[in-house]
Amino acid sequence: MRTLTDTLTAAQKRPSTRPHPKVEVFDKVAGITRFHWERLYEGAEAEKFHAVTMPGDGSLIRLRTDASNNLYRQRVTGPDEESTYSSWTDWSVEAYAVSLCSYGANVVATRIGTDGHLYLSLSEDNGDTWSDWHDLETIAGTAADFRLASCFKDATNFLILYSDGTDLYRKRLTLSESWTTPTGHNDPDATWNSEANAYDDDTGSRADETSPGIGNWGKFIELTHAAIYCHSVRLWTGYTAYGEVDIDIYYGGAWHDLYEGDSAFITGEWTELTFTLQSITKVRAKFKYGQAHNIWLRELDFGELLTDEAGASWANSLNSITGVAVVYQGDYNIIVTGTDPNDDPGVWTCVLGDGYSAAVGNWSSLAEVMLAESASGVTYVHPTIALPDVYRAWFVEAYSGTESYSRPYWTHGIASADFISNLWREPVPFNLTSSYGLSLAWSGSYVWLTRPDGVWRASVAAGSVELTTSVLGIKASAREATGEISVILRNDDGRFNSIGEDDDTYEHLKLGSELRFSPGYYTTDAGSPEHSSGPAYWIQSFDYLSKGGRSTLTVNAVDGWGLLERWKARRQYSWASGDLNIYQLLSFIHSRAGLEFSALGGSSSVLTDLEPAFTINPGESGKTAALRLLAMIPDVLFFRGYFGYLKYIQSSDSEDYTYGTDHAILEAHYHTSHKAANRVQVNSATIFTESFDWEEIDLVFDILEQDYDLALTTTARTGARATAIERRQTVRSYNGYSVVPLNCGQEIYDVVKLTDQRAPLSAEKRRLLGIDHVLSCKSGISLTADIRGCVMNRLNEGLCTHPTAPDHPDPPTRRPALSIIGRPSTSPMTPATYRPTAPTALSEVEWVVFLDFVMMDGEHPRHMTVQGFGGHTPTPAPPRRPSPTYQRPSKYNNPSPLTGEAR
Amino acid sequence: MIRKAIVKSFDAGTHKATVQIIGSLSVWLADIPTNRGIASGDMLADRYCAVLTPDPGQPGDSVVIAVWT
Repeated sequence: MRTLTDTLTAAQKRPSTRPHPKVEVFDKVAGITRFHWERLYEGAEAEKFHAVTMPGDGSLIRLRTDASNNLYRQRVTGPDEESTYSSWTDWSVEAYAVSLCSYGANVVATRIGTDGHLYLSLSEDNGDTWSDWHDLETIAGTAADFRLASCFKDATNFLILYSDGTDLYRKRLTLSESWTTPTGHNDPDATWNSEANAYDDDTGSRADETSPGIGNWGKFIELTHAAIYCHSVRLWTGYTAYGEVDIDIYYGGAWHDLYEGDSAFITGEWTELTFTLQSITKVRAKFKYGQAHNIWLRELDFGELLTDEAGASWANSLNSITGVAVVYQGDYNIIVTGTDPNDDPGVWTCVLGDGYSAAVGNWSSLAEVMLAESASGVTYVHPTIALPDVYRAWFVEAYSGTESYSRPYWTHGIASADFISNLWREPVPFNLTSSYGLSLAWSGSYVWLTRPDGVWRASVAAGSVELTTSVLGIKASAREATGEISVILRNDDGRFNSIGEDDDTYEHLKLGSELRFSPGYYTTDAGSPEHSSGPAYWIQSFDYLSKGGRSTLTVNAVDGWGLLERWKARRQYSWASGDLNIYQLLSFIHSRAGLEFSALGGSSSVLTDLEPAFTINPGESGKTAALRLLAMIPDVLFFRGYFGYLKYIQSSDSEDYTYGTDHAILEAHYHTSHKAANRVQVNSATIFTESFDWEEIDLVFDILEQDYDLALTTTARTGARATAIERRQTVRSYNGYSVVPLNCGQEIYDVVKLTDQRAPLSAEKRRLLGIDHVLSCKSGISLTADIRGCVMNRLNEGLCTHPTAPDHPDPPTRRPALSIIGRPSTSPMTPATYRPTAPTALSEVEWVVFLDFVMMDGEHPRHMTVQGFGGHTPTPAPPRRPSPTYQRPSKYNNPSPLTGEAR
Repeated sequence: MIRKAIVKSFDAGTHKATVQIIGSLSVWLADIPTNRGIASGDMLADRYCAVLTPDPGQPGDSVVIAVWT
């Protein structure tokens, strides 16, 4: 049961309360924003290697190569639908694979040169200007097969991943300014004295040169270091005023002027000279004397900006790598395509640890996202990944057989799952033919998808709209393995005639959108009305009804079970015994449907102990597969929003809520039957276990259920299976329903304690196996709940006019009278008037327990058929007028009082 | 449950087959025991076959019961 506030709990127990059901629609699926891609550019550039990033100013930085391996770059500031995406700058270098990453104003471009070297260029102004290319590494192999990826960890640290076609290497780099002391010197003309004092980190000592005379140049002193990435040098000099200075830096095999001119250096202070990032090994300086005194060079430092490490191979093994992408979140999270040691193509994820899911520098093992047989003709290439809201990954799946294709697929991670959990929704095809895939970046409110000839954009934020004020009726039902809702909306003014269209008020009301229904009440809290959010559904159909001058739109949606049902296995999934336990298998199935999954409270031991061989056949639904797994364990599955929760139901569970004391039971039916099976036999390959309910066997003789499972390799497991089956049979042998004022937080599988003096029932625990909500703004709102295990809960919310219903500006604060017409099987009954009151007035309503009943609203009678027992689903029937010959169903004729065992 | 499949390969030594269940383009089932009444020479690649799975959850408990062209 969902937790309610004290004020909301008090409100739902009062006999006089105004309900307020809230209905909202979100442009999401399973809590994840549904991207609507808008193509902003369609050009003629040839498809080849490409990359994209968005630095801090929101500009779109792109790289691409052409058929001749020429590298081009593009910077589009303030990209939008009016921007030009066809203008490229020739970088005048060649490249195969390329990558981009950015953080703030820093942008790093890397490329695999056609010479097989790994090069880097840095921009410190959002991609406006770039440093020269720096040779980071020489990679052995065929350069065209090399792959690249990069990402920033934070403002100063970033990672480059490069592949030589079979192995993956990491190179972590740091962009951080630090002053580095030279490690040596040259005095080619031997004019300087105490040269080492110029790099002894002591500004009190000095190297000096005897003055060659006023107006003459002295000679160079060179200070050296192994190659480092610098963008500045600094000097601490003496007696340089009034003269001139000539400073050069050495890179690319030659000296380059850094500064030459009048000396602006101040004696006794640091003077800093900056330049674009270069990999330098030497700095030299000479001075033109403005006075007769010797020149002092007390200190010179290199302004080091970029430090890197030697490339190091990963700990995994693939036969080939056809693409790699990386994004940082706690660790370096990597997606890679290629072929495994069996030469089977696939898509995998792994983590280069940075202390979150893996230790710093450690590699996690590869986890499969997609896999194909080597001879199937299916291959995977060119992944990309980003984290605009959740992990979003793309890759290309190519098929070389008949009706070949090469098509991007997208997927996303599960919001609450760590990357290392490797939980991804089933990849979805993108309507595009592509060999080199797509690149992904995001900035601010948009996520961008690019390739050389295309730019797409989608909003990261999910739109939403509230429908509460348009609601005429709601029918929501939750059962074991199913849940659905129908919301009837007024459309007399045509407000829903353009749903789903851009810029319409209801543009987010589309097929697949997320519909959330939050039961609530007006309460004494300042934030009234209060709601219990939780139930979520996904729209699967719309019905427009034009009838009798009225116009309505009915929105029909299914819950998480529906999403599980919607997911069909695209291929054969197989796990050998010992691969995954049942919890992990269920997690996988949920993730493929895009759903979250967790256990609520405790769980049974077999949930993680049992690691059965398992397969999901192509075309099989996630629901079917999940039900097969659930049949192996005593735990049950229910949905709260887009979370599937496992609940370990036990007879010892304490009650979540109590009815019949301070929360009225308006109507109830309690039914007891024998179990569908009172003798359970469980067979595995070598073990046979049997359990009996001897008490019931004495009464109805044995009714057998058999189970066969090769995964049950121990007597403990077969015993647990038998117990689970027996428990399931026990719970389902007690059936019935009750009708109570709406409980906003009630959920399926809750345990409720019922007190009903007429049953007689005194503080009996029962478990809910179904709940119905029925709202009609004409006749009121009711909530029905199916009880099995004899528990049940059919909630009737008061029959008061929906406070937000149209044409009712001043809703009543008390529930209006309810007229009930019923007819027992033997004698006609006259219409009765019933006003729900405090529980002490139960005697007024208990007579309806065994009746179908009809509520009268004075104009349009509404009929609700209650079938909440014996495994049937209580479903409100279509409106009809009561039959004058109505007979009470015979199944109600001999209700048995219940025993008090908790179920 | 009986499902239609395509023979992808067959090991005459173990009398086990690798089959592609219809609908599974990229992934196949390997090491599926084959009816001993089926001659090895009949288990040719690309022929259709029928796979019986007594327990739908356990592919290892499956058997190829028939093969045809």
